[in-house]
Amino acid sequence: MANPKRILVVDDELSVAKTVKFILDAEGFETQIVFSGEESLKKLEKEKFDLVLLDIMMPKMNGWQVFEEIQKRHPKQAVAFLTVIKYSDAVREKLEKEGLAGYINKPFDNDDLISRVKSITSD
Amino acid sequence: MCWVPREEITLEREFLQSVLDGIEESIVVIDRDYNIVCYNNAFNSWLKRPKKKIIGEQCYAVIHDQPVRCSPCIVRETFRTGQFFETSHSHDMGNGKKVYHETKSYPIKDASNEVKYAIYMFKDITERALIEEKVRELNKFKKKILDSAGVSINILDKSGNIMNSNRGAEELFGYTEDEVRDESHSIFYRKEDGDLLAKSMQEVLERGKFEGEVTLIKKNETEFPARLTLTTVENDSREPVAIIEIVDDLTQLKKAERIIQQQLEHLKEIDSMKEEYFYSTSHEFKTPLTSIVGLTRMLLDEKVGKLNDKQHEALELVYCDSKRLRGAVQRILDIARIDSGKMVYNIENVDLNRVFDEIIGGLNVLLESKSLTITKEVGGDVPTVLADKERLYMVIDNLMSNSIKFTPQGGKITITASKEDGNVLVQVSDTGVGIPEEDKERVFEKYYQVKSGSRDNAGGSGLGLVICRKIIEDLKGKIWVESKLGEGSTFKFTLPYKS
Repeated sequence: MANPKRILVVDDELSVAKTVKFILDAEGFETQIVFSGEESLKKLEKEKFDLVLLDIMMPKMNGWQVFEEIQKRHPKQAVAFLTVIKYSDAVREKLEKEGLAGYINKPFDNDDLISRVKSITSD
Repeated sequence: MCWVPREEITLEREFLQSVLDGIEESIVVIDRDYNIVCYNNAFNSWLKRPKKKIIGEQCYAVIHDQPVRCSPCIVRETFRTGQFFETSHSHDMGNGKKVYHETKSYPIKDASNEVKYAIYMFKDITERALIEEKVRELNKFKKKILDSAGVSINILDKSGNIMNSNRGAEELFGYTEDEVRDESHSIFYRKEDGDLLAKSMQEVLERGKFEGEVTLIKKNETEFPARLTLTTVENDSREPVAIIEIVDDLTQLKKAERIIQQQLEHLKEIDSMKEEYFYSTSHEFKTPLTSIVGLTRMLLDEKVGKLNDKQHEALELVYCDSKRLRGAVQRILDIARIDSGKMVYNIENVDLNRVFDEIIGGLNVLLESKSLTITKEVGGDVPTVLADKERLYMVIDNLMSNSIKFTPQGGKITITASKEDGNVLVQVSDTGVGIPEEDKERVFEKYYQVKSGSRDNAGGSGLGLVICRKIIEDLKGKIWVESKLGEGSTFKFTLPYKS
């Protein structure tokens, strides 16, 4: 595929990050994984990504804090939460207003994950 | 009217009489034979019954209605000793009533200092005596009330000096009433609380009331926490004449508060430990399942290479079981959360029609495999319900799966929603084997499984309906079942909606 969309997966759980990479790469995306918020910020300084998939529950810097930092430094960067935490529709709408590109629950359905990532990165 | 004896009385008769008549007290002059020789208007008025004759009559007959001389009698004492006597006495009027007299007896002596007459004066002090008796009674009553009160009550004057101390105060502070009378109540306060003392007195005198918590001191110098209430007693002109000081010993209360506080903190600790436990257990189970389910699916979809038939079949089985496992983990974690009250619901407005469609869609394969027909009916007036969408989904999915499980080939399943009595009523019916009467409540118990003859893939751990009931009840609804053995069952539950 010419110019594959680039995805950055941020999750402290190795198996989850690798699984997501497997699934997305099989669809033609180019996926990189990092295991912490700090690492993701460093990566974003050097490389461009079409979408950052952010876990929320991480030690040291949690997903909220990473989201805030990314918005400060790279305001146009598309970020979606990929998390076990379930928020109500009201909270999710609010997040979207604040610039969150999407919200995907873990455990996810493969097809669901794929179609959500596709729709966010197409335009 | 005066019978003048022939012996010398040098005053003019009328002058003497008018002097006597001007005196408010009753006056009777009595001779040594106890005859009345002279009396005044006051006496005459006092005699309620008109007497035919007073002069010359026996004093004890006229005054006291007695047939013989009274005993004791101050007139007799005057005759005996030539002295002035006064006394108060009560005296039965014969009709059960008592009168109180203040009486005086003066001697009249002749030239040789012999007592010739006695001037007997009396004032009817019945009213005053009765009032005094009443006051004594009231004081006794007051003391009894004060002493029976469980709390410490001191009555202070306006300057804060103690006038009375009840038994409660004696027991609390350790001073007897006598020991503290006329002392300033500042003896109960700590030296450093001088300002508080002054402020409280000022406030009660200005506003009529003061309430606050203070530390007070007992006679044995121990300090204790207390609630202090000061109120004023006012006279008719609304001026304070006394201050009532009520002291509540808060020692026990404070101790109990401390214990409760400690227990609360302990509970909070346990609570947050539970929260951590649930999170980490949840995480430990869900995380591996993510890769197991996700990657198996990916392999099955041949996204990373083709599979031969055997590989496909084997992976299919793994995938199926991994989903089963994930479902079971989800259910168990949910039960644990619900059980310990740590379940957090996201309540929102849920469109039942959409939920039904999604669930039916998900169960289509199963329905087809048993050739079951499914009918859905949602009344036009059915509003959105207030519920946690995901948990509601679980409940309905559970009921539907049960129906499918217990209904034989070719049967019928119906799911309906209607508006009823301020709630929405959801019903899932089947033409299945039914539930025996005695089991209708028990199906909602943990680990209970109806002994069905069904050889279907049982799968359930018996945990489903227990969670369903807990969830529905947490969402402020009710769930129950109606059934006829051999004909089918209908599971019903209600949910509130926002009107």
